[in-house]
Amino acid sequence: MTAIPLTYYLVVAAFLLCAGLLIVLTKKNAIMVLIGIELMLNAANLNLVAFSRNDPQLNGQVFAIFSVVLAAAEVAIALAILLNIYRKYNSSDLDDLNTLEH
Amino acid sequence: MHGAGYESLKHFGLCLSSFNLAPQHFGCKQVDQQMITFLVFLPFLLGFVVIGVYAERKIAGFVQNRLGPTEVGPIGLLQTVADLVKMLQKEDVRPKAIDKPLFLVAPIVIFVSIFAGFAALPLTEGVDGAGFSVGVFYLLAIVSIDVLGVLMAGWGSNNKYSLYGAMRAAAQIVSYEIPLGLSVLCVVMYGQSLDLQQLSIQQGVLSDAPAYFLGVKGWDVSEVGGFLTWNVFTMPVLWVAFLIFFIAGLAESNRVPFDLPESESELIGGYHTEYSGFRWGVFMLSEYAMMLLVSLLAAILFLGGWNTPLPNIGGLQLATYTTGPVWGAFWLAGKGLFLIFLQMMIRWTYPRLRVDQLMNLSWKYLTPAAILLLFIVGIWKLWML
Amino acid sequence: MTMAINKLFFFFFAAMTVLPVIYILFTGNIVRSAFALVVSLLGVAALYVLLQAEVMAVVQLLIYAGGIIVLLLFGIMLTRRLSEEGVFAGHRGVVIGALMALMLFGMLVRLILGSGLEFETAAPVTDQVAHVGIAFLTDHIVAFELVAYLLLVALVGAAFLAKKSDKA
Repeated sequence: MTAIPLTYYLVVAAFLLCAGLLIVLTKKNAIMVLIGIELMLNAANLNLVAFSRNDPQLNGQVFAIFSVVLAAAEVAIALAILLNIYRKYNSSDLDDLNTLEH
Repeated sequence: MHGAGYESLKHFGLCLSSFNLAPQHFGCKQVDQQMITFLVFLPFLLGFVVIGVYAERKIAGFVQNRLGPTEVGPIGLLQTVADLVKMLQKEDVRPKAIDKPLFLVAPIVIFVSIFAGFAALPLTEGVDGAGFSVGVFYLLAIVSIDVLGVLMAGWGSNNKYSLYGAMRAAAQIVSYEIPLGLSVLCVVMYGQSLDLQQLSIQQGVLSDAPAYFLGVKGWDVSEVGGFLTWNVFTMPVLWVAFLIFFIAGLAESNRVPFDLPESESELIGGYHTEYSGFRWGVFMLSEYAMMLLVSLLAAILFLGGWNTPLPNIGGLQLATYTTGPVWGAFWLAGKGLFLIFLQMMIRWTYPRLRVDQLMNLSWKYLTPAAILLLFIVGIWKLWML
Repeated sequence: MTMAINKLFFFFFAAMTVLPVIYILFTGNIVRSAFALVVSLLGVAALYVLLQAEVMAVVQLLIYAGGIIVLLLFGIMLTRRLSEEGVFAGHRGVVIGALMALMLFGMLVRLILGSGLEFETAAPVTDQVAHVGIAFLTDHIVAFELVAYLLLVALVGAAFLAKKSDKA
């Protein structure tokens, strides 16, 4: 399956990275920011797995599996924090979190 | 001891094993396994649903000391056909305030994710579906996508009660995936392979490795075959894993005693309240598909898959006669249908669980039991080496 | 013929990955964005299969599609009022953000296409499950144990953080 060159996969990963970055920068809702973070993590994983195709040790895949697991843990904690923020400030808009004390 | 009786037994054995050659009598020289997998599963599933609904109503009738459907067709056999025709000609009611893409796609997502799990099942000796090395892992992963369909249906209906019903159903499905996965992991650790065809081959006469009945090192039954080589008999601890898998499978397919989503349609709403006609039919189709998938998977993992239950007793080589391509499909179908019969009997015997009892059962009983079982199977496997 | 089918598959799954992301960029509807993210992640899983990384593809399906998205959806449904306006989110600083993202994308694409990186024609590893499993328990065992511990901490922490406080 060497018909598809490596650079195609890397371009898709670069697109996901930039799109995720744009979502994190421009969206106001906390969940949208989380979606952007997930897209950036996926872009990195796609890069890792694309390069591990060359590697007989499959180090890239192993690294990517660890990355996915850590992403899951991070999303769980982020959502728990978000629930607490929603209960306190009654909104999940990140621009409303501008006081240290409520 | 030998003589006429022995000769006739040998002829009987040859007759049994000749069933394996049946496809050649119909003209197909070589059973092309990928075409079979591609063509067989969907019609088989649809046919099963038609018969399954009828069987469920008849079994319900007999359990409740009444007759069940008797009017349509002889002994009511055409009842499901009549119901299907009625359902197909019903109007597809779509409320005005629904979220159209989510509402319309939800039943398809549920059915497709469950149906895609069938690709990993080995039907018989030569036919092992998509024979990849991550078999059962893929199956568990793709079946876990049906939660998204449930949430789509609940959100897309734009109805408070649908949303709460969908969230409860999603919580139930996600909670019971853990004991399901852990009990499958016990078998995978015992069989040292994720590939379901490898796990099936190890449980019968076709395996090269020795299989010890009840785990006792002296009793090598890999030549005897039959039910003695099944996973539950070579490792008795797996009976508990089978029980955990069965209960978790009932919960995954939303069957009683775990049918909170369906019961809610009697009480308040449920994620399929707003659906009518054929779309509702797809929800029921996916419930029966999940039931069949769980039964077939339990048969493959614990009860020997397509291997025969008849052992080789001395000269009467029943196991070798009744193992083969056609016999394998028959045994697997038989075991799967028996487990479905069990599921239907359980439906009409036990009352429904409340949502907190359901969650308690999964998190406080089944998950610790499955973890303990994993530990025991690991120690046993190391000890046996 | 097989080359053409491979290219077709790649472009189909790359479109399945990229188009939902474009939808997420332009819409404010949070729930539909979450479901679009699912489609995108399924596309990434398919790209992993094309890269012959089957273990990673199934892990992606199981954890991302079956786990993280469910978490996100529960998070959305628990932090929104069900009214029509409650579901939409706004943007800020779109122009500057788009400019920077485009510049970054341009730079990365230029670097990638100019680097001349290629796949080697070595045959891929056949039994990847065994290989990855052994790698977890021999070369990367410290990371494996630490990740297990971290998951336990995350589980307990998230359960504790998310529970309702006793004070009114």
